Amino acid sequence: MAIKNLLGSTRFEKYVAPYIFILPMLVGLFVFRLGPVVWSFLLSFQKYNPFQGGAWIGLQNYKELLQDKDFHQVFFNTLKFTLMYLPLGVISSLILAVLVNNKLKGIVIFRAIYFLPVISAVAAVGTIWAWLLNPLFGLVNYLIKAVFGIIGPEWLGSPKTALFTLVLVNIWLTMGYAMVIFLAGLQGVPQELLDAAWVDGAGKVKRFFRIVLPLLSPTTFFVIIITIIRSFQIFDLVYIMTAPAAGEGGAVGGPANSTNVLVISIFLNAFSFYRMGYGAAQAYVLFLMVAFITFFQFRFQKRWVHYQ
Amino acid sequence: MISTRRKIKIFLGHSLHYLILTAIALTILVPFTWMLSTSLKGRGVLQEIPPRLIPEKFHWSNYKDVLLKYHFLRYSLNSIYVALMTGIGQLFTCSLAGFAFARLKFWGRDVLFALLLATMMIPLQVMIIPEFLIMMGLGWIDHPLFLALIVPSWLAGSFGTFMLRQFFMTVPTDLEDAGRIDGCTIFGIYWRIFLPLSLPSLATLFIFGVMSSWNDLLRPILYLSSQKRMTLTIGLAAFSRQYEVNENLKMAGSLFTLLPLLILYAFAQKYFVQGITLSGLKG
Repeated sequence: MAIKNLLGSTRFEKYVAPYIFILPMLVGLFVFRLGPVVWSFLLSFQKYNPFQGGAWIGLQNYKELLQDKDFHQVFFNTLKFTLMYLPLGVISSLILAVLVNNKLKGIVIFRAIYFLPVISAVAAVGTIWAWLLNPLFGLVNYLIKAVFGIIGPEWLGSPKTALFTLVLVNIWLTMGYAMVIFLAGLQGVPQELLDAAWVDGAGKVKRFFRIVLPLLSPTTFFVIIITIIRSFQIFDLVYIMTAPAAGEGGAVGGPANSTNVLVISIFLNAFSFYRMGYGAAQAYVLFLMVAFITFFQFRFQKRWVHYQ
Repeated sequence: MISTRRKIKIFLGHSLHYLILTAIALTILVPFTWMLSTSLKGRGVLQEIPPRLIPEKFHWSNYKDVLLKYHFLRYSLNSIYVALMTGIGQLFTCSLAGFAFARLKFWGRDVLFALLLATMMIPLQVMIIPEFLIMMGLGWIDHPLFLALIVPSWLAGSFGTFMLRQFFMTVPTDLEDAGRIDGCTIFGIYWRIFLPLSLPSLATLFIFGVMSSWNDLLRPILYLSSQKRMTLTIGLAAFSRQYEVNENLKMAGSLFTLLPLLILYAFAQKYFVQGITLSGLKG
């Protein structure tokens, strides 16, 4: 056994111990992360059914993606969802953050309430919202009738409104998350600057748009990026809310494919139709989209964002 | 005089502020309240117009039916088991790796750490198809010990590793040296000095692990198939999809799915917020 000097370490500690420390992580990194990334890429060039085996078909899956009308709609639905959710989600979280950025009595309780949906299981809140938004007997349409005297929309029941309904519920579900991030950003705005502007006669609104918002731009940029990436990946809510009753002919991604977004399509292809090669090709389209946004983040952060 | 006028102005401003805050809080709380209300109603009054907030008669039997007849008690036990295994196991694997990345020098360290960070940005969907095939190959689909849900979270906890590594970097070297002088081995330094110091970080990671596992939907859909092995989320989803199930029972099921985590949130709110904002992920 090697002799240990006062502050040094044995050979074992130097050459072997570190690898014992990281062994579990190392196994996971290769077996559950890097391996699958490569495997998925290889799958995307195959026709693969887990029970019948696979065959190499070259670029066939990607060609199909370009020609498949259903996939075009899926892609379009995903972009539509993102474009609706992004501005509404970011602005509502920012408003929330501004509203709770003070020391009023009881403000921490409001913060805790606004954050509540973020920790709640989507499986449960999706079920609850499906009930609230039931066109005939739901609370929401009852209130619309009572207050405005009109018949409320069909919400998830119609292809015209289903996707937007999901956007609204998703905002309810996630705005507390971005609120917390915005709040941290707001608390970093130096009080002296605001005081100086106040002395110069700038009103509340002017101070917000001329001082707070520019200083907040790194936070806003981060929130925008993460909101886009998450919109691309929306799954749970759509899965729960769009097939409330299989007996009524409801299908995941319905009605009429109007809420069939990218990850729903990957899921259906890979695990319902067992077209795993085609599913993997779609997953790589998603990968590409996320990689593009991430690249964009690193590349343009410095140019667009005002750092102090 | 002026000061009184200002006081009134401030008072009105605050009142308006509270009014807006309360209105938004209501939009968050009404769905939960409505769940509670519906869950106690009888089947006959679900389509009643106008709907009542407080049911005429409280049907506590809904809860009994959902828990026993519709297996939500079983689902709850399954969810608790998986969440605890995930939460606790992660503490060990992530802290071990985080310690090595922060405090030990070894060949390949920086490359491996960069790879770990890079994989955090890869969407789960890119990896899930092969992961499913691996689980199928291992015979872990519908496994009685839920290995397909637990093991990946132990071994691939990149967020936890990253978070603990960041924390371990801040621990002063003096403490490490003191441990050395007292004759600690490297494992002793990790176990007796670094772990006790990082209790708040470990609590954050534990809560985060429990929450992700509790709310997870995709993996239970893929890896659990028999009813007795379902967790709450997939159990509720499958239950709600049945045509003959009424809204009062669906709401009772939702209540049991939400309640344990809500109680935990009431006591450990700080750790929830920290874990979620640090990870940049939700669920």
